Amino acid sequence: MKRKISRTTIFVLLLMGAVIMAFPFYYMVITSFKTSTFIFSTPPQLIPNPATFDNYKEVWNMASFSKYFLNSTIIVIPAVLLNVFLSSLTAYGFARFKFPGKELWYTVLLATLSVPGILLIIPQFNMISHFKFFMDNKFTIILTSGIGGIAFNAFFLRGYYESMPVEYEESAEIDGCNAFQTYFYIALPQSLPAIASLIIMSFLGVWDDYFWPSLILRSKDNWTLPIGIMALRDQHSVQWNLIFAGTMISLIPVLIIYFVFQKYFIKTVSEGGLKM
Amino acid sequence: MKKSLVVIFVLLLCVFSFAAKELVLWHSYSTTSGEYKVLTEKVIPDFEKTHPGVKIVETQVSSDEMRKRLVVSTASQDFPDLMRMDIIWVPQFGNIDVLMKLDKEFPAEFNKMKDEFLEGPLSTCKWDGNYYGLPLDTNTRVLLWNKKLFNEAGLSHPPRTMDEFFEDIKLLTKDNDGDGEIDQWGFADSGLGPWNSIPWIYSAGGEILNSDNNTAEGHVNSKQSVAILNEYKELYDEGCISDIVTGSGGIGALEGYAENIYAMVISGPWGHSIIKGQYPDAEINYALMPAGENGSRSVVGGEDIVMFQSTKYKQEAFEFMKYITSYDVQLEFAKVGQMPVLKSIADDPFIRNHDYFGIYMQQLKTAVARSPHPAWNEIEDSIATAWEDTVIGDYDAKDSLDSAAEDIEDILSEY
Repeated sequence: MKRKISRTTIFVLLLMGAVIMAFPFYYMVITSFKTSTFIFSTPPQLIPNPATFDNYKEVWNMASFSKYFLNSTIIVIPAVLLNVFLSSLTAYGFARFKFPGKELWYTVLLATLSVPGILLIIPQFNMISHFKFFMDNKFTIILTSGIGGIAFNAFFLRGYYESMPVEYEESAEIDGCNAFQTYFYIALPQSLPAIASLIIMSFLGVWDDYFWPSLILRSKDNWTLPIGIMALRDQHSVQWNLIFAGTMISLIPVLIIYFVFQKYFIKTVSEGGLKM
Repeated sequence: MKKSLVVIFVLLLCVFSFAAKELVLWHSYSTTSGEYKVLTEKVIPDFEKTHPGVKIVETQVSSDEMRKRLVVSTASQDFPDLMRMDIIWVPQFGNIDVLMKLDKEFPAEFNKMKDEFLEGPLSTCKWDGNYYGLPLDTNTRVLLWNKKLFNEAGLSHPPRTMDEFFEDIKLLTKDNDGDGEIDQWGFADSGLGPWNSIPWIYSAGGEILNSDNNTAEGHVNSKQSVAILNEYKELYDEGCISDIVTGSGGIGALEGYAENIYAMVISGPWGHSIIKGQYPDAEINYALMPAGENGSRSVVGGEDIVMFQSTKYKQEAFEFMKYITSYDVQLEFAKVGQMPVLKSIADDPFIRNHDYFGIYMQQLKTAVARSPHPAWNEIEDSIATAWEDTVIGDYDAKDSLDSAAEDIEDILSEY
């Protein structure tokens, strides 16, 4: 009986916590369905009445979010693939190969983590702005996001590769695989659970990035979603209903990616990393 | 073989020599605003039609991000050709020698057109004897008073003097539902920075810098400057000024005004569309800033159009600057709520019959430009800190303004 009560208390407390945490998000969702008249009404409306899709329509068509959505997608897919590929390659190299100064290089790589990203923006921009080709070009963002964050990702994956039994790779070598084949066909598939988390992180980083893309992508035709959302802010006023509708649009792929890869992540773990 | 190479070369030459001259224009109009529509659907296409071979590429940069963007641009010397720049930044970027001196580069034309602009806005383009831009739009802040709440309190007209202003703020602060907590405030504003405090300071006879913009001591901490800060603090402590001035939660100033929670707020001309957008039926009543020792004074805001020295197409850029400040274009922008800067336009029937431009135009006549100084951002921070220290932090008004004077003197001594 006593146990039941304490369980109920915990459940109620957790539920309250969840409600408090989710409320701002809920408020964003409902505001995106409100007309501007009801955003600040007192008492606040908790269920939009009248509910309207007009904000979404306006943002999608008038404010060209359809275009920004496409641009974001065009950038994020190759960037994440490149990023994950290069990161795992780096991590695998440090985990499995012996070469002179290996730990020194690894330390140097990790040391770059202590430099705040914002500090690098000016020199990076300075280099890129000298080449007209790279300015206002989505390819630049694919490239820079693709190689960004490798230090942390390699750190994250190296331990995973080191903890994997080396026997599989040895037998692959005996069967005639070269180093790249061993990595690609044997090690990479085994590390998929870790790769899945890496994809989530890398996706979020590229998808949400604002400042760097805003420096490079100048024309509206090349804008990504975060730049589009910022452009809805006026100097003196903010149309929250439009901003939230825009934010909701940019949030959907994040939720999808998160759910898809989280499920995959759990599944791979429960089946055991070796059963591929 | 040789012949075909020559043909290709000539073709390439043709392509390059006929390629449009591209001028990049940075601005901060939100992409859903009326101004953006006018700029992209009317002003730019019309200009390109009358100037064949010139292409204006507009780039929107959110106003919150513009500063960071300019810092990066300055570091890597990568500037647009033209920019709609906040008036307070013009001296700063003029001082580091990245903006074109219009009076040096186009002396004849500039001198001819100079007198067409309102003096206040034109003065914001000037730094160290040179003009670095043309005024593009202007604004100021006036008092918005809630007639319904005034009538309920037995008041029939907005405050005309500072003393009436303080009295009305107290009279209009109430606990309507009787729960022992104030639920109606006499005054609300969005912050405590100079943009907010200048109407109070200058109307009361206070100052920030001297008229030559090189001394703060005795001005920012003058007797009147201290007295008005004390008065503000007293009103705040009595609960008559809403907590939102300190940045803590609460309904926004304009929204609260429309909801009959705040009896008076101070707002720029954009207040009208913000209120009407959310409260189509709200009644808005305007009045001049209440007059104190120094009359009714408010603060000048707005933007200038500037050209960067790095541009390859000076003449074309200047043509565009002239075009965007011309009568017709100014009127077009006025129709979507942007206040014009030409003297002659004040007599246009559209401006004369406008709902609220009249009162703003009148306030502008005595409005104070924030000191045109390259270090304005730092000066601004010092004053904001002094006001916050006193209003929120209970520091003595004289002490915090004395220390602000000291800080600002340090800043000024570097120029």
